Amino acid sequence: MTATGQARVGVGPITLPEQGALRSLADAALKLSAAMGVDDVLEIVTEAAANIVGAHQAVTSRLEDGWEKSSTYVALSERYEAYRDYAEVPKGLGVLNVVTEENRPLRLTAEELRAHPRFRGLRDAPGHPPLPDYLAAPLVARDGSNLGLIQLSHKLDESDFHEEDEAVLVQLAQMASGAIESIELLAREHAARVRAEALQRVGTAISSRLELHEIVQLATDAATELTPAAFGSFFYNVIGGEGEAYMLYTLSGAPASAFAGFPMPRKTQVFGPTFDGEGIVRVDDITRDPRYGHNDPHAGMPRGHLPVRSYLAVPVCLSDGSVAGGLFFGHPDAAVFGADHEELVRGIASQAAIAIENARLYEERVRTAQTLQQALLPPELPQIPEIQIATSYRAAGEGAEVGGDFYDVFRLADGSWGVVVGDVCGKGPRAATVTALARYTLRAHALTESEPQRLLALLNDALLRQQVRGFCTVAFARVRPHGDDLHIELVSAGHPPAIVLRKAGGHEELGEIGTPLGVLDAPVLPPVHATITSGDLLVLHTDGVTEAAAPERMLPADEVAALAREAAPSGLTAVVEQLERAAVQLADGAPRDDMAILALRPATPAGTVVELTRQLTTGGAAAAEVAEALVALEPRLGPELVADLRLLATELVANAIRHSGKSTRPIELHVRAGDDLVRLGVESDGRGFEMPSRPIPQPEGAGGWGLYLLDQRATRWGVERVDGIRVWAELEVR
Amino acid sequence: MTEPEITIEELGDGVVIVGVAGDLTFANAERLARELHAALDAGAVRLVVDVSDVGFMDSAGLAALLRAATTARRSDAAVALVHEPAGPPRILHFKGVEQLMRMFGSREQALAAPGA
Repeated sequence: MTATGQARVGVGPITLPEQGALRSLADAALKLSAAMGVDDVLEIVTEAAANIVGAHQAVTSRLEDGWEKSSTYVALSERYEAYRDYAEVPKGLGVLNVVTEENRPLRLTAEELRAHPRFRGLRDAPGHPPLPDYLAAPLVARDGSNLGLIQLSHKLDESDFHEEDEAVLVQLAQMASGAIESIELLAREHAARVRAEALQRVGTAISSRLELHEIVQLATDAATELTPAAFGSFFYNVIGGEGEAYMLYTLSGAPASAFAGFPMPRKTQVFGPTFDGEGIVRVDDITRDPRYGHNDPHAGMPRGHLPVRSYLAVPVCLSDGSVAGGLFFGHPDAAVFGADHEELVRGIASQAAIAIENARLYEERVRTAQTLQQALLPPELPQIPEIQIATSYRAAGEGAEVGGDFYDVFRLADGSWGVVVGDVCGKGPRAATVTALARYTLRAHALTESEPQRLLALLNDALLRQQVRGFCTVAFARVRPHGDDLHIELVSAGHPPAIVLRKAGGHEELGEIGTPLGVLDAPVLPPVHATITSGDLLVLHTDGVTEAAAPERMLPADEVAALAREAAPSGLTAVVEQLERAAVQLADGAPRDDMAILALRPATPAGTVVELTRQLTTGGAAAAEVAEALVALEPRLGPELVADLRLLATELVANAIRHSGKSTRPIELHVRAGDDLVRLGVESDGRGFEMPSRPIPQPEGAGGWGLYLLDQRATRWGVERVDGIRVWAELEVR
Repeated sequence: MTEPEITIEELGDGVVIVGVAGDLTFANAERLARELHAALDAGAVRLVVDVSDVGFMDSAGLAALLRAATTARRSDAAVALVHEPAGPPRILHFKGVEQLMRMFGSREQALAAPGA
């Protein structure tokens, strides 16, 4: 170990004070009380001792960890000027040990000094000024421990040190000890406060992050900043989506390129204790550490590594005892990290550990919530030729909670359609069970029931029978296509009214608010009826839309209607997106509740409608027959749209022929074209096919292009089992 | 609708131009497929199929071309398509379809292209 203490030398005239020892002592006391640092104290007391006692040499040392971290001040008279460069830190040998070990003054004449059993002479210290005689007093702390000492030699008047000199020196030593103690105490308190503040700042910053990488980067930056480290890094373990473990790292104080070429640290003798969570490793010079350089292939730092001598590594351990990673710090100089830095990084590591655990829990929660949410909403809505439907769903918050809103569309026993928007009280797993119960109860009963009132009553019973009670509000619309219109029967169980937008202008609120479900044995569920026709629009939504910014701001029905009308020409999806966007904006991006929106309208070509129906041969001749039939639409729809229609119709007809088996029933082609959309239908005998999920991926080989083209070009399309099979597609007129 | 007219033109060195005119659908795509495979069987190394005069093509027609291209690749031969970039058939303008085969605006371009 090398001594890291420091010494300063001051040379100047030393003269006995004219004002007398007592007055000079008082002056020294005044100066000491104003001293700002330990070095000031050393200088003041050394000069005072030399002058008051009248000695050619005076030396004061503050010892810490022995001479290892000592500070020394030397005052020499002009007579000893030749020794001004002798600033060697005392090695702590010889008689001075008697003073520091026994904490008592020592006064020796030249003869006594040389005869002293512990006097070693000056042979170990070449260049040391001659030491004719010796007077020393210890610096003693209030608790009796030694803080250092003041040593004098060679009185100005060439006499021996006498008792009075000793008394003065002891007095000065006491004053200096007091000053050193208070300064160091203040410094320690200050350092502790700075550390606590820094830790708190880091802690607050770290704990407010939920992204793992952000947390570790912040911890690395903070620790690198608050310690003398030249650079710092945080190596941490990550479990990937496939369950595979791998290691990532962040850097601070060095560019990423400084480490880009190196492999991840392994459990070498140096790194092992950190990755195994055994404890903190703090080494003054890692290159001289017995654990260093034992591992292949590099036997030490790999070539090109930033130089490291001082090394500090702190494991980041989680509450279950597992090791999340480690914080590593380096500096090219030796011994820059102290116990206080170790403490600081330990604090940051434990805060990072808590934040990492929170982040992992949060990630897990988001993942679970998303999975659950997907299970609670229909993955795809049925494609209904007569009804266009668009939906939007947004859970409140950042996705860590399963929302309590839901929507669903399914066929009812009588062939009409059930369209549901609901809002379960609460959120999270409990709300999710109620949501699941609501959706599946309604779907199950829809196989035998068609009355909305009856279906909701059944759901009410199911909710009341549940062990875990939960209530919900539901708007249930039974939608029956009738010619070009849709007949709507709506029952609202405590749910906000639906909004009907009329093509001619104006809107109505639809629904008589009944009893929420899961509360009363006999809920009041009055049905209301309406007919919407081509160009009209029905919007169902949960109160999360109107009350996104409640109670400060509401989105009234008038505004919902106006927003929907504005977006309607761009399509139904635009309508629901517009409403969601408006609600989110109103709530400054953070709606207080989930929101579900469903818009529907008759999928009937509007405006001047042209219709054609053609029976086609079940065979190759049908290809030409399709072309002949559609050519009639060219003046109305233009050649390009007709070419696309022909392509899709040909594909559907080829499909029908392929699947018709031995049937001789002609294939029927039906086209209905309005100002806004064209509906194409091909009806035939045959077993048909299951509607694939959209979008259909591009085929790999030569086959399968027919359905792909249909899926690409049609806005909507579907398969219906009627008397035979009917495939339909909708194309927008642009 | 017209039955497609198929013309075969051998330019030597295994270069064969197949011209198609008319509508190419499930009703007649097999005929084209047979012609293309016959040309490949006869040793064509470069098959240029000109569909500039095809007003309409469905997925069966496309499949005939794709199957020929696959067969050609197996014997280190190649099939290139000639059609007017902005013109019919519509099917060639669908997403994904335009990358299936090498396509050229004219026979001259197809013949001049290296390695086609």
